[in-house]
Order: sequence, then structure tokens, then C-alpha cells
Amino acid sequence: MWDILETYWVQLLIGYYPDGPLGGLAMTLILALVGLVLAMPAGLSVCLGLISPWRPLARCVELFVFYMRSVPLIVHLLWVYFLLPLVIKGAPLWLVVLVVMTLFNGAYLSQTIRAGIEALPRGQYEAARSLGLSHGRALRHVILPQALRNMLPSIVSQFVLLIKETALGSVIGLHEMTLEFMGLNDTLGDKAIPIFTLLGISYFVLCYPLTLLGRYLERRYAGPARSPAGTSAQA
Amino acid sequence: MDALTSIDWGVMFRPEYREMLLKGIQHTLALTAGAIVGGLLLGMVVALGRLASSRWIRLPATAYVELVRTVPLLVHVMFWYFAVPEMLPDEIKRALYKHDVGFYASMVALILYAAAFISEDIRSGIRGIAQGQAEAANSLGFGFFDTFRLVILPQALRTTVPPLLGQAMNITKNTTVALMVGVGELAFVTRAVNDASFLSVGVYAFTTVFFLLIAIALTALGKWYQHRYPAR
Amino acid sequence: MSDKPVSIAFQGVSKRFGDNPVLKHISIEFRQGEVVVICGPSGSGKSTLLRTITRLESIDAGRILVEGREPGHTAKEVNAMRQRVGFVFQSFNLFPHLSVMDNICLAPRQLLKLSDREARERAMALLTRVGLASKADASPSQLSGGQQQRVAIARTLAMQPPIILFDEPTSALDPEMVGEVLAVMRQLTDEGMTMLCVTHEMGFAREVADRIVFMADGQIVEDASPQQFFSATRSPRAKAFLSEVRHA
Repeated sequence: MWDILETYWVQLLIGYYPDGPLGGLAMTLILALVGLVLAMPAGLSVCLGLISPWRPLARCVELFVFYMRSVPLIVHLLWVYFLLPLVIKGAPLWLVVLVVMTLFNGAYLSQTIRAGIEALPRGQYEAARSLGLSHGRALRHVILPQALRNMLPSIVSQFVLLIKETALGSVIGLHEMTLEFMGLNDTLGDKAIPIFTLLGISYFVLCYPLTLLGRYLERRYAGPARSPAGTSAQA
Repeated sequence: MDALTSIDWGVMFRPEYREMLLKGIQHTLALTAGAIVGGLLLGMVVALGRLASSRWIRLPATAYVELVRTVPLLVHVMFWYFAVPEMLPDEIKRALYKHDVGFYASMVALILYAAAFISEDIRSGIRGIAQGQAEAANSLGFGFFDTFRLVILPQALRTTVPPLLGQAMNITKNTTVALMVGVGELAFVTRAVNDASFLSVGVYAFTTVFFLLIAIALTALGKWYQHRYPAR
Repeated sequence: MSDKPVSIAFQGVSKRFGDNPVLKHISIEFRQGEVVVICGPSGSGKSTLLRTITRLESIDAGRILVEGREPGHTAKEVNAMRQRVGFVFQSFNLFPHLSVMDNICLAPRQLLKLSDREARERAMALLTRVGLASKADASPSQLSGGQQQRVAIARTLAMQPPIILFDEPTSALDPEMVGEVLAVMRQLTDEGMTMLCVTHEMGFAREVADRIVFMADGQIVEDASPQQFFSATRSPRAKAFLSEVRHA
């Protein structure tokens, strides 16, 4: 196993860059990171829609979230793989995956954000306003710092989910880490055991420390804003 | 935009594709059912293992859950499809390859994956039952297994059913991963029909509607359950 | 007292929560510098009365005048009014993500535009007054309930409001901590601020109040000086209430 790593580590790390598209671990991480960064404002917008007092908007947003959560990620990928090039000529594969991940995780994050805001005791907002602070200042100095701190563990675990989701990019041919290893398996023939063991270990090494970080943060901040049940476990 | 203008919604009624799509549903349901049953059974065992007092049982159970949950399901499927058969003795391997390796590999991977998450939900459910319940049962003279069977488990299941329904939904969605190893479940068939006929939208819509219907059914089931057995 | 200007005036104020009337046509005036204790059985509307003053609750009818004016409904006017009317909550509501010092300095820095140094000086002076100077850098979670409430009072005083409202400030405290908070409140009565206090602490009321207002079922049933209230109560509701709270 170690000799495979020794020989092929460059390809597994960054794919065929610069001779080809960026791939491997680099693609996985960058995609997960950018996906998370985009999913947060997406989630916030969806959340604002969910708690909007205007019922028709809230209803539409609820349907959107239900749709995103009910349909498998692979089917989402197939849809966007088909539709995106119709809108953006020559849309690259990583963009397809990014769009899907932003919408998909945005829908899930909206639930987390809503829980985070609603979990704060009402008295915090009242106390801030009672001192004479405006709504905006109350949010900025009192509510949001606490809500975001409460949500931090959930955001970390969402990041772990994003890393795992990138693996499905291989279904549409994106050169992320899983596809690189699969390619290696095709090349090397009888080395399936070390290759896929190494692949599993790679994800474990990537995700487990983050999982531990998330648990540590959850204990430290004792956030009442846990992810609502049902936001775990995706392929 | 030609593909959109030539939407053929009747694709599922075309004889040549209808059979493929129905077989796709069959495979999806088979994988789902197997994973739910297997996942539940194994999940219960693992949950108990994690609550065991002996370190020799607890640590392997915990290691299993942590390992399985941090690796994507697709990688699990790949592992069972490519790597595990290589570890088997030649006769078994040859016999295996006569059958649908992809299906078996996916089934095993799905069961192990689902069990890891289900065990977590069951474990929280059990922990949620007050300590006093076990003490009361013990004081009446019930041993560990009877206490568990008669007092703890029935109560734990009550609170666990809603998250378990969520897991059932996840399992159904997860079956689509099997397409990567050639299992003719719904997503695989969707792509196949699309490649053959460029009837993307119709076929994609069919598959999407299938999963939406399952989600609606499970949501309705969940709501009924909460109505009948409200959380105290 | 009756020559002092009116701090707070209720004119025919009514409020309901759903079908439930909680304030019934309340009219009363509080003058500058008065120390008033508002008491009554639970559900009498006394907390709601206090909360309507700073618009934490809205009213369905009537007017509430603060320092002779009815504050408008723009955010600016409401915020300005709240700077002049301090509010101390039953559940303290300290900001857990800020240190004690920052809790007290937040509003003066943001709203009164005090410099960092001025805000900290003011905060330290207040902390010394409430006996918690050593806790300036502690986080609220490290303090006992009584200490938190004292910090909450200091936080309110930092804005130097002429009027201060206390909504059952000791009801959430363990008995042994009630005394330290009442001591701080007792100090304040000499400052000339208008103090309205909803509380069950009848001993405190008897000692420092200029006036006791008894409410029941959303109405003001008695409004008298402490001596009158404790020895010569007229209404049966007040009598019943007092006999339950007799150990004051």
C-alpha cells in the first residue's frame, strides 16, 4: 500500500494538473470548502424565506427544501449535469457539482440556522433592546455572535458531509479523489485491496479529526442549536 | 434547447423502456428493503455493543461506527465490490462472479452504512430513558436482557421511530449509489434510458417523482405516528 | 412628593393576550423620585404593566406617557426612550458571550459614544458599588445568580437612566442570595431615581417604598403608603394576599 502512495501521491493529490484538470485530494477539499462557503449565504437566504411572515414565500421555500431533501444527491447531479450546459455553454463538471452542493447543503443549513436563531432565549433580545440598542445593533452585538457560536459545531459537521458528498462527483466524471483512485485501480489491475483501503483511510483521516473538532465545539459551547434530527446520514 | 422541446413524457409507457424502468424500481426496492432490515438488526446489536460495560465490546463497536460514518458510502461500495472479492479464496470468488456481484456488494455496504447511523439513533433513544427505569426493573428482579426487552427497548423505540423513519428515507436515497457498480437500480436505469434515447427530462422526472412519492409517504407515516404516539 | 413632575403616567391603558384581558383600563401616575412597589397574586398583570412602559409589550387602548411625552412609534424614538428607562429582568439576561465588564460597557460605548476608557471607568465604579469589582473580567457563567443580577443592575445603571424598572428581580434567586440584591436596590432608593419594583419581598417594600400598589385581575385594587397598606388594608383581596405573604 505504501509503495502505491509513494509512486502515485502526486496524482492522488492534485490529479493531472497542470497537464489536465485539477483533481484528487485538492479538488475534493477545494470543492468542499467552496461549497460550504457558498452554502452558508444560500442557507441563510432560505432560512429567511422559511421564517418570513409572508405565507406564500414561506410555503414555496418549504417546498424547495422538501424537494432538495427527498431526491437523492445523484439524481440532483443528473439533473444539473443535463440542465446547466443549456444555460451556461460549456459548463465544467466542477461547476455542476458546485451548484448542486450549494443548493443541497443550503437547504439543509437553513434548518440549522433557523434552529440556531430560535434557540436563543427571548430575554437576550429583550435585554439588548431595553438598554436602548436598535434592532440592528442588538442583532450585531448580542444575537448573531451567540447564534453563530451555537451553530459552529453544526457547521463543522456539515463540512464533513460536504467532503463525503464530493465523492459522488465521480458519478458524472469529475476528477475528485474517488475517481482518481478508481482510475488507478483500472491502471494497476490487481491492486484493488490496497487502493480502496487507502481511499477509505484517506477519507477517514480527512473527516475524523473534523468530527472530533465538531464534538469538542459542541461540548464547549453547549449549543442548544443542535442539527434537527434527520440532517445526518447522506451518501 | 432541443432536448427540452422534444420532451417525451410518455417515455415510461414506451414498451422498450417500461420494462427497464420497472426493473429499476424493483432493484431499488430490493436494496432498500434489505438495507432497512439488515440495518435495523445490525444497528440494534451495535447500539447494545456501544452501551456494554466491557471495554472489549465497546471499543470495537465504537470503532466500527466512527470508521463507517467518516467514509462516503460510494467508497464503501467500491471497497466491497473491488477489494473484498480479491480477499476471498478462488472458488468462492468464481462462484460469486457468476452472480450479480454489484448487487451483493451494494447490499452489504448499504447495510453496514445504515447500521452505523441507526445504532447512533437507537443509542440516544436508550440513553434518553431515565436511569430510574432500569433500576426499577432490576429491583423487581429482572436481569439485564429482560430489563432491556420489557422495559427499556419498548420505550426507546417510541422516541426512536421518527429518526428511524428519517434513516429509512436516507437508505432509499442511498441505493442510487449502487449505479456505480452496475446495479440496475433506478438511477442507473435512468441514465441508461437517457443515453439510449436522449429523453432526459421524461426519464429524470419519472425517477424524481418516484423518490418524491416515497418521501411524501414516509413524511405522512411520520406525522401519523406522532399523532398517535405524541412525544411526552 | 406631589410637587415633583410626573415620570410615568398610564391613561386608560388596556391590554389583552388573545381572549384574556390582562390590563383593564389602568390609570395611574408615578412621580419623579418615587419608590413604588407593585405587588399582587400571579396573573394580576403587574409584570405586564411594567413591560408596557418600555414597549416590551404593546397595548390595545390608552396612552402611556414617559417624562410627560408619549414616545412615538419609530424605532429611533423607542430606543431613545429605553435609554432613559432602565429595566432589570427576573432572569438577569446577561450576555453570555461577553465578560462582565463588556456587558456593562456595551451600551455606553455604542449609544452614549463613551470612549473605551470612560466606559471602563464608569463600569468599575458601578461594579464597586454593587460589590463585584473583582469580577470585572469574569464571564457571566462563572457567577452565582445573585452576582449576575447585581451585574445586571450595574449594566442598567451604566446608562444613568432617571427611571428604573425591576421585574421580580429576586424571584429567580435562591433564598440566600436575595438579600445581596435587595441591599443594592435599597442603596438606589436614595439616589433620586424613579423606581418601580414588581416584587414579593414585602419586607423590602415596608422598608423603602414610598408607595405600594396592589393589583389583582388586571386592575389596581389598592394604592397606598406602606403604613396604610400593611395595617389598614381595605380590600379583601389585599388582605388575603398579605396573610399569605405574612412572613415579610
